[in-house]
Amino acid sequence: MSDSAACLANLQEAVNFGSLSQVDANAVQLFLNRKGRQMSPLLAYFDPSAGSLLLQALVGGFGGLVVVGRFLWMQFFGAK
Amino acid sequence: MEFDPGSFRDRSSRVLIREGRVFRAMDAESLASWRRASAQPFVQQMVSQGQIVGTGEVPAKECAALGLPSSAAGVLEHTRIPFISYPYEWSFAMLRDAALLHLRLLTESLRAGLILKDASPYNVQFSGKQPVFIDIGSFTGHSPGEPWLAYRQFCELMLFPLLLQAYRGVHFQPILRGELEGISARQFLQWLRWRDVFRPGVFTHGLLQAKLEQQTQALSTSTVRDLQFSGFKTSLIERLLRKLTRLVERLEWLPRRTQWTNYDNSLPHVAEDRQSKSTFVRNVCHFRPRDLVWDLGCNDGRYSIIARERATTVVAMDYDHACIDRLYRSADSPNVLPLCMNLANPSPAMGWRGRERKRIEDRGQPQLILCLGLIHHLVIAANIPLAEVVDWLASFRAEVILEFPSKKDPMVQALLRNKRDQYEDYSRESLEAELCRHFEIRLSESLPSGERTLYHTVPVRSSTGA
Repeated sequence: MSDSAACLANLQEAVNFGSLSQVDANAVQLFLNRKGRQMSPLLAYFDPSAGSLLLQALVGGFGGLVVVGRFLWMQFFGAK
Repeated sequence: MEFDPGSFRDRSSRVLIREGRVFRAMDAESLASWRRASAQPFVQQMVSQGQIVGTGEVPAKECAALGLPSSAAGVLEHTRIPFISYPYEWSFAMLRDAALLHLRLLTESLRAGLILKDASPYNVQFSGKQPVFIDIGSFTGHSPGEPWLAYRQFCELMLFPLLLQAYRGVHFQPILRGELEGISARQFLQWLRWRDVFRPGVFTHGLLQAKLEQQTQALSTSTVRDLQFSGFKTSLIERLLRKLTRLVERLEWLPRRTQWTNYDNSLPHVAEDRQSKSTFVRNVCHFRPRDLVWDLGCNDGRYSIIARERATTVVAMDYDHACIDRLYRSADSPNVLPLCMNLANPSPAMGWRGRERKRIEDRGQPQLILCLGLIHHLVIAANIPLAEVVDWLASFRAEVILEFPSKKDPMVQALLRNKRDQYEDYSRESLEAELCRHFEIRLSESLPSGERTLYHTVPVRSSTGA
């Protein structure tokens, strides 16, 4: 297994065990992305459509609405 | 190195056929994902139940001996599916079962930290009546906070076709045959009435999705990464999958009665001839075992069920979707694969360069073809010359059991009622002359009703016995 895949697996294990929050795990991954490490998320061979991705969060109840709220905040006010 | 012409969209794993065996060349990441998936108890269970295709790794020495790609990180071999079929040939219940298999696989995969890269019904085949997941290369590790990338594909290729047929009675098969990528949310909504918006699944997966697709076209950053940073959780996907599973499980298609759904009891000659036909078909089918039998114009599948007793696989085709759906749901026929097929316009070669999806004639060599109660529909209703029908049957180099109703038969009379009789070629004499050009007529029998004749024919210059 590659270093990046092992790192991802370790991050997920930490989230599952409860020692790391999902938000922190995501932030770590994105930090490493920006540092050029090969931890970019899987991107499909087809276009998943931004709208469909957002919809998954929208139908996810209150937790999903919070995610959408953060997402919209980032789009309008966050650094790009 | 020639890969299967239908296996090119995902470069990380590609299928190739060698000496009748099915192999899959994998890159390093896909191979690692498969090894991780195959160690999971749910995958092992589903393989043993026949819901995931049997798969094993091919040793490197054997790869070299078979001329398999040395550039691949590894090569898998799959159990061969008896007959390839496509979603545009499936009945409603078959597509629904394929969708439910997908959803179950996704649910179990997420629990194990895995996910499927895509959600296409072309990743499922049917072994008889059993849906089998075949795209082993689709298993991949699931990153924390990553959304389900294939949700839109699942909707376009599986959910919307099912909703259309369940709610509007619109057959999805011709649509999927014309649109291999499926039905978009916008197209789906165009088929619906305004009150259908209140039906389960339409507002959320149809209307909302169409609106959001339109509104988010201008986004310039990666939505996948932005959602991760916003705290997207795997539990959101799990919740969505639960809702989709409940929705799909509850979808039903209740077809209106057609003239074929109760055909056996509808006309006097049918009931009268049934016993003689069954005996004739049984005697021919049971004479020796066969790998593949086609039943063209199978109606309720009565003769497919007789044929399957001594056949590995029977492919039963009919134009009437209600008959095919009913045959699929019946418990009597585990090795019968029913397919919706207009035999006057059978599935052509389709997709990229016309090679991605095979035409029906190129998917297997039947040893026996049942052509019962069909020829008059092809010649008189579809206006195909009798000689061409026989020529087409002969092209398969298979034994044929053929039923010929004369022009005095009630069903033929019904077909001619409002048509000019231009069918001078439609006679018993013409048929036998055409048959003798390609076949040896081993047996013929007139049925009790008096206007129908059965033939058992064998291709000339064939060494088969009867």
